[in-house]
Amino acid sequence: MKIQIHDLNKIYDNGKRALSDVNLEIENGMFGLLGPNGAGKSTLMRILVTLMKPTEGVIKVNGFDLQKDRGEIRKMLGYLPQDFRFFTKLKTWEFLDYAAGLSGITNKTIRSEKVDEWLDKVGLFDVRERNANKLSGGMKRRLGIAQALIGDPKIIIVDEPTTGLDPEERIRFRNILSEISQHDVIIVLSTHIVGDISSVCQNLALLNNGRVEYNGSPEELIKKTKGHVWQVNTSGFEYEMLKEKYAIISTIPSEDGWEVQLVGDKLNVNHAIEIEPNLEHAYVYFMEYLTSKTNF
Amino acid sequence: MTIFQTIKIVARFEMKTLLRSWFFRIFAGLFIVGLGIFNVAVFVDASNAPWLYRALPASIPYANLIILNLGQAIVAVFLASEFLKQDRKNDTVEVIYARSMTNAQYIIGKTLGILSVFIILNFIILILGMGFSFLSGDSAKGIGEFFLYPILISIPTLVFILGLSFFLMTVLKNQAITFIILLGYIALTIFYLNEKYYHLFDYIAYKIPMMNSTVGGFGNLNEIIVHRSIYFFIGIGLIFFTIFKLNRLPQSKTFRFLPLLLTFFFVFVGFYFAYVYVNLKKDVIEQKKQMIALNNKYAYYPRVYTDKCSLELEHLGDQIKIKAIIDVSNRTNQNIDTLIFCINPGLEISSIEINNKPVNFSRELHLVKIADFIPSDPNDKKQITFNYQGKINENTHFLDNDPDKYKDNFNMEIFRARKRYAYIQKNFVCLTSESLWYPISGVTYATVRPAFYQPDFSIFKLKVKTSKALIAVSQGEVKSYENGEFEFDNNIPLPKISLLIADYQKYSVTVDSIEYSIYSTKGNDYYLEHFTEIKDTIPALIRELRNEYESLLDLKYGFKRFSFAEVPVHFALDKHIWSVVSDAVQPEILFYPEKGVVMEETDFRKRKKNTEKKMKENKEEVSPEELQCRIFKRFVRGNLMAPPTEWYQFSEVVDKYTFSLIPYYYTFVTRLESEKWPILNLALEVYLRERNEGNLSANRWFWRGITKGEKINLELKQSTLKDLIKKGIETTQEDDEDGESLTINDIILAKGDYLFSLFRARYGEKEFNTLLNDLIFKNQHKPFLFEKLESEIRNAYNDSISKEIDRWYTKTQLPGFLIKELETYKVLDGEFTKYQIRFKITNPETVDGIITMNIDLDDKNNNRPFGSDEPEQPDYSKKIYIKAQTSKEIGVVFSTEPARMNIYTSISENLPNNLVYEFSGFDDVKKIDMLDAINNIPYFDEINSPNEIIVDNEEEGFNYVQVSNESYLKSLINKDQKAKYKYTGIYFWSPPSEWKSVLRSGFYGKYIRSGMYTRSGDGTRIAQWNAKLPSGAYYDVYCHIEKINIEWNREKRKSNYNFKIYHDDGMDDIILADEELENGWNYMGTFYISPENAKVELTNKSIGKMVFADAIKWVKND
Repeated sequence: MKIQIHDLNKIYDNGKRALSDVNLEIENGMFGLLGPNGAGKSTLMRILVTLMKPTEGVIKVNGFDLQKDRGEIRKMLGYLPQDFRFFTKLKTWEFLDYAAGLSGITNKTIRSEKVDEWLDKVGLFDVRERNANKLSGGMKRRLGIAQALIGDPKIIIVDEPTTGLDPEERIRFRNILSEISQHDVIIVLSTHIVGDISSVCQNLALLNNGRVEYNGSPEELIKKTKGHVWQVNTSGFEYEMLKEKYAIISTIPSEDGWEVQLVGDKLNVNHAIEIEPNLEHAYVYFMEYLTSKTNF
Repeated sequence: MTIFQTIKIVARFEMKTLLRSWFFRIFAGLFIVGLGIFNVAVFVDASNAPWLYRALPASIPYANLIILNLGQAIVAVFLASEFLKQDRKNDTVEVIYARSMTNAQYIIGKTLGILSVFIILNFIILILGMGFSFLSGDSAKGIGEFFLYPILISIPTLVFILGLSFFLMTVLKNQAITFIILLGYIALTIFYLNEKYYHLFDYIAYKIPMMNSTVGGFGNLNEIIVHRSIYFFIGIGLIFFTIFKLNRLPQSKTFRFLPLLLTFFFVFVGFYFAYVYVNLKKDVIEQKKQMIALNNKYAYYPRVYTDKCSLELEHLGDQIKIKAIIDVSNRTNQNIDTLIFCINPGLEISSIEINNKPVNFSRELHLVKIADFIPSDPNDKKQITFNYQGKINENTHFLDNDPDKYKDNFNMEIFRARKRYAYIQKNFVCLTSESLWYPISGVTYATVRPAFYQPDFSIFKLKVKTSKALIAVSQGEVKSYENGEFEFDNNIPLPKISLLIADYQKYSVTVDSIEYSIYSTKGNDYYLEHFTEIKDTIPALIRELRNEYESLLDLKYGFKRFSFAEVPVHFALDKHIWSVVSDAVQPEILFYPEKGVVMEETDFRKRKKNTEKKMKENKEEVSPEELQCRIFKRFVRGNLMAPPTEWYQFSEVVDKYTFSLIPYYYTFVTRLESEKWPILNLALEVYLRERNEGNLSANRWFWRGITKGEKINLELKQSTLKDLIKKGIETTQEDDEDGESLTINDIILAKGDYLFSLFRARYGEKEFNTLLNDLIFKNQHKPFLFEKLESEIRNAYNDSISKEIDRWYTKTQLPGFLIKELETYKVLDGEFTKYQIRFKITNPETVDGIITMNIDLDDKNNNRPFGSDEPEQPDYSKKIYIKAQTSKEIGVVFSTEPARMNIYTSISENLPNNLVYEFSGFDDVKKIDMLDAINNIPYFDEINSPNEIIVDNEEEGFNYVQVSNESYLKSLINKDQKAKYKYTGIYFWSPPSEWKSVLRSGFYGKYIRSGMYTRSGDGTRIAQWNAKLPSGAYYDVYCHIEKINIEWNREKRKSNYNFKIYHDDGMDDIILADEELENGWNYMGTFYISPENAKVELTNKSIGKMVFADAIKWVKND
């Protein structure tokens, strides 16, 4: 499976440019789309799931053109949008049954088995008779992912799936995606929460203002940040100065002030200790210092 | 996955969602409960639901669906626009949109989902109705209708309204605006458009004639399908537009514009059906006009007389094949070079032979022209043979009904049925002479000779070959054979024959050598179980009823058979301009509509229950046999013997004369022929019908506008009978709102009765009637000329009636009656107190007139149901002949105190034509001689004193200021409703915001006793009387008041009157309170008034709800 995106541009009717010359190649596994709010992630996702037409550019999915072969591509898709609510009058299992039907499972018995299997997988079997709109936020997300996955799609697109979930739900959610990604599928995960990506994505793209600022593995991104992450025990005036000059990642109170983690190109503080970067550090360093530089 | 599987999945889930929506559940619940109650009401005896609901299998599904459809058309708008709104708002739909399906699959699935829930509701309602219908003992049972009506009514309506809702939501993108537009459209359709343009805009099928008959089917299935296809296909087109405009990228770029193409295609198909539908209707009108034009062309052409007519008819499914052999002669005084015949244009003529030699002929629509010479010699006879085959074109029927006003359907309760005049179907044939299924000499109706209708009295023979399972019914003695062959032999000449073929069952009995039969189609003989006890009594009952009717009519039945034969409910009960009865009355056979549904007293079960209930109340014990006898008599009297009631349940199609038996005693027996006054035959017919009928009197209720009789007087004041027959009557919708639309036939009947009643009054009742009876007896089964009638009258009375008839026909003069000095007092007759009524009456006009004086002795009319002005037989009635410019004094004496006197002025200048005098108490005993006679007195033509100057609201000196407060919307709605007749009823619950004229006996007037009334207000509406006084002097000023105090007026405030009296010293305001007023003239004061100041004004300022302006009188002081 491969998604190839060439020179993709999207300009809305009001003139706002949402995507600018996006070029990406996404292969099997989990692919993360990281970027701040308004970076163009959802636009790219909606284009990928055939809900929106790009202004320019070509997207090929396993050789199928997204503009010409929507039918074929839709057959491969499973989609969980960002704002996912439910049909108010359907029960949990009925909604999943509807999704299963539309994904091509026409045999009633098979559909019923699949529905139960997925309800079980996402931990909703016990609430299968409950109206979908009566589920908790986490349950709704789980139902959302179940409906996206029920037809065994080859391409799964999930937009901001963990927003508003508690840590336990978030972990459960990541695990489900992680498990699926072991199969021959592409999972495109859009998020502005770095933790979602770091734990599961093999590759990612950083989007900012509609542009792809980075495309590669999380490790590579982290590597690029090595030597730019420090930890400083500080207080008073120095702390205020650091806040102004550097991107602070974390601030933890200590006995004589604060233990601060920060990123920056150069740090003129003697007692700073260079520490190993993680993806969050890399993302902040990237967004704060390198987006304006070319050839990052 | 196939295309349909996806559609099914979307539909299933849409359906699930809707079925769980409270909005739909509440709607469905309300309708299920409401229609459940309706069905219970129809089937329980306690309700007054007409027999129609139980009699026909179509009634229940039709009624339920027509009601449900109104609701579902509205609810579908909400549901349809709701789903598009949801789709736009809810991101959840994106998970559906991202699935592999086409936009068409999605929208079609959604549409089918909505449709399915409504279909489920339809079937719940229908099953409910079916349950009641099957549980009810005597109701008609049918399954087919329960499936047909949803297809014809619900589905096209729903598809259209869903399509339209989707379309508007897609285009306007605003649910609220879509609602407003659609609900407005629905209201417009229901309240205004549904009857316009042949029901073209009635997408709800609220007024489309869709009644189904077990005998003849829908009668217009083709039309219904075309009409419903209009909305079905436009709806489909609009659904495809929604597919095209759906806010989702299409599955395939290649077929992106296919939905748009399909939109155009289906909308075009819908419009094409609309075009076909309108043309179907227009073609009928056009063809009728062409036929009339053709008839006009040949109307005065001499024609041959048909002496004999032998017909051999073969019934071939939906066609007939006929060989007609007719013997003709020329009875005119002209030679004939072209023979004109009428044969239905749907019948293809293969050959015509004269005396066995083929001849050339030409056809124009229904007219067949054969070039052949027949000299003016009745003994020179020829035999013409016609061979033809085909179907019946029903446009030949009832050409005398103005094609432009032609209404091809009729209402029965909430149902509507298409009128049908003829049938040729596999299992049913119905043909009347109007169908022109046998050659008829001359032309049919022509506007150049409108009332000219002179069918030949011919000896008919008919052979019929049809299917073995069917029975043919026609006139004459019948011989039937096993193989579906029938021979009908007539030995007396008839003016026409008819033919019915159906799966009839015959029940017959012979009474006094006359065979009485009833032919009902199989399964429709529901009446049998209601008359089980009187099988042996039936002959005696028939004899009794016949004697009763014949002694009333003073004529004898002229045939050897009388049959009742069932026809579909659609059979048109229209009346001809030249006839008093409908075409359901055929020689020897009376066509009765399927199970008697539009007839009176055919719900025998209900009649039995009601009679039993009444018997119980009266503690009367009656045997089952006697009970059935009563029901039987009631049925016969109520339908065939023109009972004294004018209230018919289905008054749009049936009145008291629709099934009247009078043609069997006159119309089918003889005819009065007059070249100059062809309408005389009808005048005589109606006179014979009415001559021995009891007189009737009626109240005039406040809200009663102008009566039919009064409309007739107004028409005859302006136009002669001759002109009216020629040009017809123009009435507006407003004039017809009281349900009494005036037809030319009404005028002819009234005028005809008046003419012969005058002769009777002039020549003596018994003598004149005997003369007529003899004339009819001497001319059995042949026509007689007017000259014969005139010579009989000349011989008997040495008088000529030609001049009188000519004036009657060609002049507008009417008699007029003035009444004065009406007195009611007690007198002594020996030791008994008696009650004297006396008055003087004059007819100052130049035409003789008749009044009918009816007197009710007690207040029995108070027992009438509220709102009923149904006439009742009075205790005393007398017709009084008042010659032109003569006066009479009339006195009547009673032992019981009279409560009311009605004076019917019949055809006259008088309005109202029923003067009602209520007697609230007789004056003390007068010691003068009783007057119980009608005496001639010196002629007078004035009822006022010479020193009185009266200005009435109908006169020149009266005018009024009309400041209307009518709202703009109301005036817009009423724009096209300008009434032809200015008189309205008194609507005390909502008086008009402008001055309106009303008629009542209590108002002042010479011939027209009218007043004007308006809603009370701030005094801006003013009525003004200006008198031409001879000189300045002291005058007593009076106002004429008819106290109309409506007791049930909630405010209990009675009108007071604010007059302004102008005089030489200025103006005086006079306020007259209700308690000071009396009916009639009320004194307002004495003033010195010069001619230039003689003015009185009345404003609409009053504490009551309305004020009346009538007349002002100035009486000069000596």
